[in-house]
Amino acid sequence: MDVEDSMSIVALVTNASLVVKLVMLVLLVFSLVSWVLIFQRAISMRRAERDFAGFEARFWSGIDLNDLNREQPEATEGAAHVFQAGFKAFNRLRARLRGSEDQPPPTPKQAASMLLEVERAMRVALSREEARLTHHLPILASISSSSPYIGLFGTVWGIMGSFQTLSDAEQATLATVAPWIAEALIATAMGLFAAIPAVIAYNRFTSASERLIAAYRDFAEEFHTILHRSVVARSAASAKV
Amino acid sequence: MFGRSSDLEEELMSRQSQEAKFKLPVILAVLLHLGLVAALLIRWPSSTPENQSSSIVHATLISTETATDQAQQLRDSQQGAPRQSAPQQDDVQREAQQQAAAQAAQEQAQREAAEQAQREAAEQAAAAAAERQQEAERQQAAAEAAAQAAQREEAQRQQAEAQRAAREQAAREQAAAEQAAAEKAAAEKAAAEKAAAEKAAAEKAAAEKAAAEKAAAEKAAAEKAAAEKAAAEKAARERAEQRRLAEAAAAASESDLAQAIGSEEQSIANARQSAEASNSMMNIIRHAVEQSWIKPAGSPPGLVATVRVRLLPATGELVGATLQSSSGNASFDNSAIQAVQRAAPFRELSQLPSAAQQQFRSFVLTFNPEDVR
Repeated sequence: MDVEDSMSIVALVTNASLVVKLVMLVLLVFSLVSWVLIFQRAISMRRAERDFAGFEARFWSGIDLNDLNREQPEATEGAAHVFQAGFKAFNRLRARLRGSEDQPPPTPKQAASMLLEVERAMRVALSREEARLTHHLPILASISSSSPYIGLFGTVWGIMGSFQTLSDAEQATLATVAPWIAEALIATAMGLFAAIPAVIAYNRFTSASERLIAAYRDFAEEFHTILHRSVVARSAASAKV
Repeated sequence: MFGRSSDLEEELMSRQSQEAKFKLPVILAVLLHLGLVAALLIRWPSSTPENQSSSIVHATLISTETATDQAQQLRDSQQGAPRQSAPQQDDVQREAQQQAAAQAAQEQAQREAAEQAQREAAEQAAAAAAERQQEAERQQAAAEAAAQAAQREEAQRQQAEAQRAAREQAAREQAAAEQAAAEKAAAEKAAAEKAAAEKAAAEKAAAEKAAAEKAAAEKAAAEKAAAEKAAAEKAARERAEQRRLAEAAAAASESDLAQAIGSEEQSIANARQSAEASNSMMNIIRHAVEQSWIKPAGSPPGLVATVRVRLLPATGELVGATLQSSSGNASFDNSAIQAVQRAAPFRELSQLPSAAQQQFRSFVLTFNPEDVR
């Protein structure tokens, strides 16, 4: 019975030396943090994908861009954010051009600089979106790469301790070493336990956010094309007049 | 300016919303970890039986086989001694035949390869165990033999096999036969033995496969003498009723062999069972005693103590543990005896077959710290 008691996981954890206990604590915190981030990222990623799908459907439904801008209530994230940033800059520049003279057809040079400004505004919004999507992923990456080493450190420390006590014992049976080694190995197990979900989640979220950002960028290009076309058409029409 | 302030607002809003968004993930993560810990805690008691079974395997790994064998051999020889001193004719005869058996075993071992010799040694010990069992069942076996007489024709095939083996050992067999003949008429013995051989053949057909039989028959030479002894006992009992089946003295020695092989095969089957059981039981006892042995600190190396342990065969309770040979260090001796007493009720003994239980009535444990790996 003594052997079984000493080999239970709870007993192994409570009997561990101080350093090993600290290592286990660190690993437990790592595991908690990584799972918090995994859940948080999973939720926000799924919502971002859903929002983007909804916004894209709305955008291509033939709705007037002014209406679309009005029905988006100060969007702060996703493709709607990119759209609003671009559209706001476009409107502001057009108003300034229009405000200076009554009906001045924007010259091709003015139109080009205006579109450049719009593009820049959208690029800023895009990079902000990118930062938002990959926000906590570096933490996941460092947890996934460091926690096996931390666990290994605990194991090495525990085994060192076991050998030190072994040198005092006259009779070195497997039974005297086994609990120590099992206790030390718990640290490695915990390190792997923290690392494996973090690695998987990091890879998954990285690829998902890359895919989403590429989709945003495509949308920005298309929106830019639409604005460009409208500017060119208007300048051509005003040139006719 | 306007644009910058609106950006700041956005930033603040997003930070706020992100902090709000962290509440659910934190709860989920904490729940996940709590669930995992709970799963570990709950699964723990149900996994204890597995641990118990694995600890028996553990014992066979750790156990010091050589010491176990020594103990068994010691025990065997000591059990054999009082039997020899008994004034019965049968026993005197058996003693002589055991010597002949030992001779035969030695010569056989020389002839065969080294690995076979090892196996034989193990089987010899098994046969010794079977001897005791057979003695206990002797009456019953004799009755069975009488009932089954003249039923099977396989005895003839058995004889053919026996003759092959007989040529190798004819001289020794002759000596054994002469001893028997000194007491009994050769004809009577032949008749009795034939009946026994037929019984053995029947049992063999039922119990063992053909391949195993052949291998056993060839290997059996070492144990042959032991089986002969049993046959001689049977012969003595059935002498009176089977006189009519007298045959020539030359034929008698041949059928003697056949009978010997037959009953020896039976004894192998029994001996294997009880030997396996007693071996694992020995390991369990050894492991339990090792676990509860607290060696006194500071005792000089090289101490060896042997303790004679007597158990109740049915329950495995300790009757007595006495020092058989002292190590010269009183505290070491006491620690050995205390280890046995602490490990004491060996409940597993009650699960053994009764024949194997008898072996644990009294046995010797050797305490040798250097032996423990």
